[in-house]
Amino acid sequence: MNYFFSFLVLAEIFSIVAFSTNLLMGVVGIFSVAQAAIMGIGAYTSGILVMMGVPFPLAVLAAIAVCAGVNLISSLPSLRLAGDYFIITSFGTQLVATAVFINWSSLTGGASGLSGIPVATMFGYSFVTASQFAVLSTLALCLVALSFWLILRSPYGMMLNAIRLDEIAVVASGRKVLQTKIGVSAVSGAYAGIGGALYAAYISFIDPVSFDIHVSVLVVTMVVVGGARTLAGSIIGPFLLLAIPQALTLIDIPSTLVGPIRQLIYGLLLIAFMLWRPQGIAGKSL
Amino acid sequence: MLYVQLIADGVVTGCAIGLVAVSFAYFYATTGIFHVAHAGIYTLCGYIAWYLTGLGIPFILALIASILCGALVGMFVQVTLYQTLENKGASPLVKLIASIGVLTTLQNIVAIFFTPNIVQFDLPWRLNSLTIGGVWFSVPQILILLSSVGLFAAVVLFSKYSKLGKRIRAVASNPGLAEITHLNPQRVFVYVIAISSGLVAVPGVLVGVDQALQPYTSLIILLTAVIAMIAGGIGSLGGAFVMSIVLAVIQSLSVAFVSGRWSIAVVFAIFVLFILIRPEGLVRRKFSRAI
Amino acid sequence: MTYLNVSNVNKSFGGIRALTDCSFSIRPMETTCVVGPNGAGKTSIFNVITGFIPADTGRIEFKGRDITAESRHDRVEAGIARTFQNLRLFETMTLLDNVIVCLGDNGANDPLSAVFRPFHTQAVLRRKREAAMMLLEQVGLAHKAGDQAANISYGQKKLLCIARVLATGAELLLLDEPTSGLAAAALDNMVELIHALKNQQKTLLIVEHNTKIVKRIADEVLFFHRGTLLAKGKPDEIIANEDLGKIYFGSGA
Repeated sequence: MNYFFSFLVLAEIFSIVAFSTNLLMGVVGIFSVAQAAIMGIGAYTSGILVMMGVPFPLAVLAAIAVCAGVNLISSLPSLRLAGDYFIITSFGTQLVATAVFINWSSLTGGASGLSGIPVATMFGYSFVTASQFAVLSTLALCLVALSFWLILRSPYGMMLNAIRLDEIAVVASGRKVLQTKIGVSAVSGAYAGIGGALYAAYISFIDPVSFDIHVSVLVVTMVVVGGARTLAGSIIGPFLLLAIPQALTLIDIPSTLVGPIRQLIYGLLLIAFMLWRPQGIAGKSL
Repeated sequence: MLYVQLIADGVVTGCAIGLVAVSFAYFYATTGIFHVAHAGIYTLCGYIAWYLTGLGIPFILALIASILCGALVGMFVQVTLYQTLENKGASPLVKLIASIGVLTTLQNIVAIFFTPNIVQFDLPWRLNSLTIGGVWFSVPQILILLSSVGLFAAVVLFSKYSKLGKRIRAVASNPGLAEITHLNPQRVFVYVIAISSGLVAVPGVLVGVDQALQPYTSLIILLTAVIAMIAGGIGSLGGAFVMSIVLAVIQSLSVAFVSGRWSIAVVFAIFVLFILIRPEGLVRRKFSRAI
Repeated sequence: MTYLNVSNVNKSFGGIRALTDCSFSIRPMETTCVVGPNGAGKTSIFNVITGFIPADTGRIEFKGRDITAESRHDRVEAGIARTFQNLRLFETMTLLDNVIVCLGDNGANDPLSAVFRPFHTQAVLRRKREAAMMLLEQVGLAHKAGDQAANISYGQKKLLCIARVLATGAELLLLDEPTSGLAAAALDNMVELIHALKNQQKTLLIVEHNTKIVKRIADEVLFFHRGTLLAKGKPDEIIANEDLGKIYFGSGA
């Protein structure tokens, strides 16, 4: 049972990060392969603050603010210019963030990471076991999903869709495209920050490998497999893809090959879905 | 003297990155596809040569075989993936994600079928070196220098003077028009990816000989190369090559001031500076693709 | 004070001159047609006026205000909006949503109000729906409001472009070939709509190829050739001018 709840918590945390990617990539069409890095920044921010004695809710708020800011700043140079610059900024943000996690060891514990992050405590309750934490992560996922849904059905959400379809036409109608993109970057960063803060509190150990480029590619795969622009897509993807490593444990393969085989599956899934089902399982076409 | 050595090392690294940049830019400027999987072909070719030399095959034959393999894999990706996506009217985002899928697939095929560990070539001569004017070069470094400059010149000459090179440039500057004049762009793209994938095999193998092979590090090299391409002005092969060397020299010199582990941050900082100050790159070109 | 004043505008792309020393002005509440052979610089002048390409030199004034260096967004806010030759509709969105996105109403247009003031946001959306519906009615597309833009006829798409440009609230509308490719009935419909817009105090600058249409809608005609303004006058004078006719139809060239 505990095994089920720990899977549930992890899948819900990644669903939150998938919402972050879906908002940028699925809705506005801004490529992002740095959402794991942003999630990591949230995890380190909240983890370090909680270890310093800051109450968990405040640490989560700080993580949200920092991630919204970082996502915004990292995308700012590219927001001014359309197109492929964003790809490089995105890869660059991811690689630089990993370098920071590894090399700023006085703060992040370097490659060996931070361990012993205290359990999440809110309003007198401690979320220690997986089943207790599942309450917290379910609540967070519901809030994120609700906000995603509200944004999509607002006039602002219509404009996000319109920017993906034809940015020039949106500009020509006198809308503030830059301001819109800045807003969406901040919201996307905030989602990833929530995901990161929950991850740090639940696992109680974070290291650079937990938030490297492979994790970002995994998050992209989740959105691609689940499907763009729908609530169901952002939730189905993480649950399915996190089940793959579980399924692999049933097959007898050498431990050194587990990681590569898992990633090979992600890579093949990306290609297959782009070729034959760009709308994913339950979404709309990218 | 330390600085001279650092500069020399930077130039060598820059030449290798320059070939990656030139080969990437050649495909990118022609097709507009952000071919991230290029980094996967780079990795794959290095491991193929490593595997073949391990079987006792002479190095030069292993190098040629890996160039051919690179070209074939590239053509396969173009024909089965990019062309299919193009025919389906897929967006650039879809092509990019598919390309990331190919990169991930190639990297992990290498890790599964060869080894996920760091490996070195078992070639005694790779440790030989010579000193020119007080500057130390390893034999692989010399090979990198000579082959990069030679191949770069060959690509430029090919693009300018050969019949196929001219056709490629025609397609790059105006795919629609080229189609009307019976230059099938998709056919031309297959040639282009074969050339650029074959080219990228050379630094893929030689850098591996000089240093070591790792399945997952090529993305950083590609990112540096792409930044050099942008800084040099897209569509300008010379700009991409020269800026690769400049970037690598700065990166190499920066080691004297900040830890080498921050070098990716240094490169990225240069990129941010560039897009803030001069987004069109150093060399402005008439036929540059709008990025 | 002139209404829109373009003076000495030059623009070249990598050695190719798109506009050479262009100067003209248009009067408010009139319909001005831009005519000329292909490559005459008609769309370039639209791009320069709306800020989609910066002029190399020259000056553009709108209602006495220098807008040469202003952003595209500010120009729409000042009252200049355009359509595109290739339409640029949001194909997978409904007609109603196509118009809503272009409405100049900035209410609840940020993520925070979408999330934290959902009821207010929905009220704003209802208001926008009503406004957009009125515009669709005006162009005769109200019955298609819920359809996807991709699924309507070409003529209807052109009408949707007009509804979108009206949604910006601009008073000077630049229409890039609003009648091209239309069948007779749709064409008459569009001409009627253009007349109706003029009666609503809109100023129109229209790229138009068909001289018959020009006669029906234009108060003033600007004849462009090779990036310069060659002639300006009443439609009858310009169309009757044989020299211009030769350039336009390429007969004597």
